[in-house]
Amino acid sequence: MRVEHEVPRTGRVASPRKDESVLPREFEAWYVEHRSAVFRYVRFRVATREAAEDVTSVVFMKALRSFDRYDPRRAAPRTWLLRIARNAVTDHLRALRRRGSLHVSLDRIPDLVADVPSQDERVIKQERIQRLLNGSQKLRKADQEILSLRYGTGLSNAEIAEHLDISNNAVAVRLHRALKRLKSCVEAMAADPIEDR
Amino acid sequence: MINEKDSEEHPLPDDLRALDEELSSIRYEERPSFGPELQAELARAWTTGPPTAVAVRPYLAAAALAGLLLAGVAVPSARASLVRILRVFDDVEPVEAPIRAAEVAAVPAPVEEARDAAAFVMVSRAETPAEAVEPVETTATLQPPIPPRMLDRAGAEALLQEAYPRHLQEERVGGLVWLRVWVDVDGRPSLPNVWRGSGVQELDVAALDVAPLLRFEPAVQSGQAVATWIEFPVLFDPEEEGDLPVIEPLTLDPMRLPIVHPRDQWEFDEPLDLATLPDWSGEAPSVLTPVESALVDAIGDPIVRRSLGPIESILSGIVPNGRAPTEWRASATAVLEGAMERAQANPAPLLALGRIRLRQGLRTDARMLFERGLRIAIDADPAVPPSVVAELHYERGRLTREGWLASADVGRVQSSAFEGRACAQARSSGQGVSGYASVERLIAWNYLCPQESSRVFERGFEAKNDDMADLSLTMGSFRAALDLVPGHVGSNVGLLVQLAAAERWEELLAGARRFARHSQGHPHALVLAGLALQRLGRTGEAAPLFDEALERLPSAEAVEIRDLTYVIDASEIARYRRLWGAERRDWEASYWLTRDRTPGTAVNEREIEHMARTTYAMLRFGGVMSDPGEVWVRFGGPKDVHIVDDGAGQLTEFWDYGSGPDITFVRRVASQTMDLTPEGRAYVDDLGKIFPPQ
Repeated sequence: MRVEHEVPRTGRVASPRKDESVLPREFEAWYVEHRSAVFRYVRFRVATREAAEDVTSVVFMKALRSFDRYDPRRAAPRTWLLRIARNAVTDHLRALRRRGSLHVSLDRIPDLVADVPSQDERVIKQERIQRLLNGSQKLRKADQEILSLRYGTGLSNAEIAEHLDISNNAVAVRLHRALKRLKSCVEAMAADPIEDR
Repeated sequence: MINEKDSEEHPLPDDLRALDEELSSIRYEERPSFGPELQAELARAWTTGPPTAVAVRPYLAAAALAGLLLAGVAVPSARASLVRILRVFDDVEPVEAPIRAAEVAAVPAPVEEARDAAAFVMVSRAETPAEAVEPVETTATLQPPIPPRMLDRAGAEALLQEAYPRHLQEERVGGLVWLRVWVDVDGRPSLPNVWRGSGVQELDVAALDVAPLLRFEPAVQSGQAVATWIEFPVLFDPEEEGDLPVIEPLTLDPMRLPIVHPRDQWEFDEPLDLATLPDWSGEAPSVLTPVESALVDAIGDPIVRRSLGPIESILSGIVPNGRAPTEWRASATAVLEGAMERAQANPAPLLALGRIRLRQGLRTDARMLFERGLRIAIDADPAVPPSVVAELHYERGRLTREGWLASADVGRVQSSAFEGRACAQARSSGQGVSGYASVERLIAWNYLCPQESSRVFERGFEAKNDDMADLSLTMGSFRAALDLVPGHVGSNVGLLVQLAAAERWEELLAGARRFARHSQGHPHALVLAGLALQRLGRTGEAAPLFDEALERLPSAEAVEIRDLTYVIDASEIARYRRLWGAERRDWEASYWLTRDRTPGTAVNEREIEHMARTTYAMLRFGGVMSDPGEVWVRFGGPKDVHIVDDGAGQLTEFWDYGSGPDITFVRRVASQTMDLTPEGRAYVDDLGKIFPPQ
């Protein structure tokens, strides 16, 4: 099984003392700064808030365990955390796939809302979000990745480029294609409600 | 939304820009306490410290050989194929000889392992990874390790059975896959890989897919849990193995429809004498205590149990206040799985674990656990306390009810039913699937041309074949719970509300009286008896039952039953809702005083009817303050209901009240929550203006 180097072996951060009852200060700062980004990245790709919480916990737990081997010269903290998150999401989805629980149904996504004024519009919007999320799960992994970095984590093209180590232009092209595929996928689902189920 | 710079450099076409804006507008509502909880959990993990260097005895090769010789437990399958996890872990005795340092090569965890940061593992097998570095110092006094032990083997085999590709079963293709899995100090498996393949890639993949779902008791050395690799064989066997023990599928005696209980069990000729009911001091504790005791017995170690918080929390699956949910669920799962192994004839841990899974939304897993619990209870009878079995029946009934709700009375309307009908105002002519009308079209016709719409429903509504098995199983489960614990609250309410929905008032009355007697006068029994009597026209008998119930109900529910929000004038609502306690009750009393149609009698019929409606709304729809609750309280029950499946995961209910449009609700499949459609909400609001509350 091929797994990427997430834990660089050189240039480690100073190993913090472990007898403290609180988190290492640097890690705590990362946590405060990036927890939300990691959660949103994960939330875009998994079916429920509870699952997103579980996966986010796994991400930070893994990061904490590997903290003293983190090499700031290799990757920025957010990049490193999002990379762990990507693997954790993959593990989670692989486990779910066997249980057939990937589908997002509306009563399970009340935490995903859009800025709409009325309750009625909110319901309609939630239905639309349901379609978009179900559609995105049918895309290729690379498409899912770029969409969740963009619309889950909220990164700019330049930040995604840095994260994926590709050019800005390549990001724009990939994003454009992913959106196009998502659009066709959602349209196909709307045309065939049975498939949408 | 793509930021300005991005959009200048890489403009999106209009259609994609709309999608981009839509995706950007999604907001993610994080649970406010999640951040602090996780931070506390991380701090705890940090303080406890990650696992350090461990040593693992060279038990694996012997285990492998032993495993091949030992048979596992068979799992029944639809076709006679079997999947077995050969017993490796718990059948191999650790070798007693001390480890000699010279035998042990220490290697850093491969790159993959670093993901889980399980530090270093020492292996002595010939396949020591090539990147081995210099040995580290170990002592020669290490205790022999106890290898990891698989928990819930039957569940694991069931998962593997599910993963066994069907076409391979049919083609009689099987094989032996050796998996290699890293089991961490919490018993969680990760980094699964195929150590020795079966030669059939799909079988290898099937085993790999299931590996992360397996659960283990971690390896133990010198009294401490340690992380380690384990290897074990999984046998996919397509041949029938008649001599292996096969677990029979759970068989119950589901109650046949229509919902009837034998009269002799349900009939109570004499009315309830409120004076003979004991004083109410909350729900009968005798129903819960034996369940708690059974769970306490199964868990054993009081220190471990107390570490999870109050026993009520463990039993209900509710995370105790101040605990991090993820951490608590993981700890509770480990403890309960340990209890399942230790006390194999006690189903209480399965009940508790099922409820935890239920709260995680994992219904299939929960149902499997409840059914395994019932199977154990049936096998171990009569050692298991009846209240434990009753709870298992009840939980199972609740889960099957969800399945039934998704299919009961559901149908579609044939497009051909619109032929010869005209509704000039309706613009929606959306075609549904394969000759059936779309829900949008039905709603448009309903509100714009209600008379035409009802003819369309009359002509074209085609009920799907109702699968009544779920209802039968639901009622059978509730009934089985009541046979064991006649005062069981959830099962009584579930069953009696179903009788009310079917307007079987006599049976409801008999059942509610029985419930009242066996539960020492539970307030829900009293309101249900009151509802039945009111519907039977015996308002005078219903009134004292409601009065008594209101005394016994928790204050929030009593307020809900008396609530007047939906029947008073809109201009009074704000003032009314600001009132509380005695002031509010005085206001309600004066409201009803002016609306008593027969002031000469002791009972205000309209008030009792109101409470009968709120009772039904509360127990049937989960609350009076819900959309269906509002409609029910304001307009009573509909004459007829049509439920249309739109084929996209939601059901639309059309409640027919006669000549006007039907009131429309939307319900997600497998959800008990209903909301008015936007059109339904507008119509109900309009009705309030045209016919002010009386």
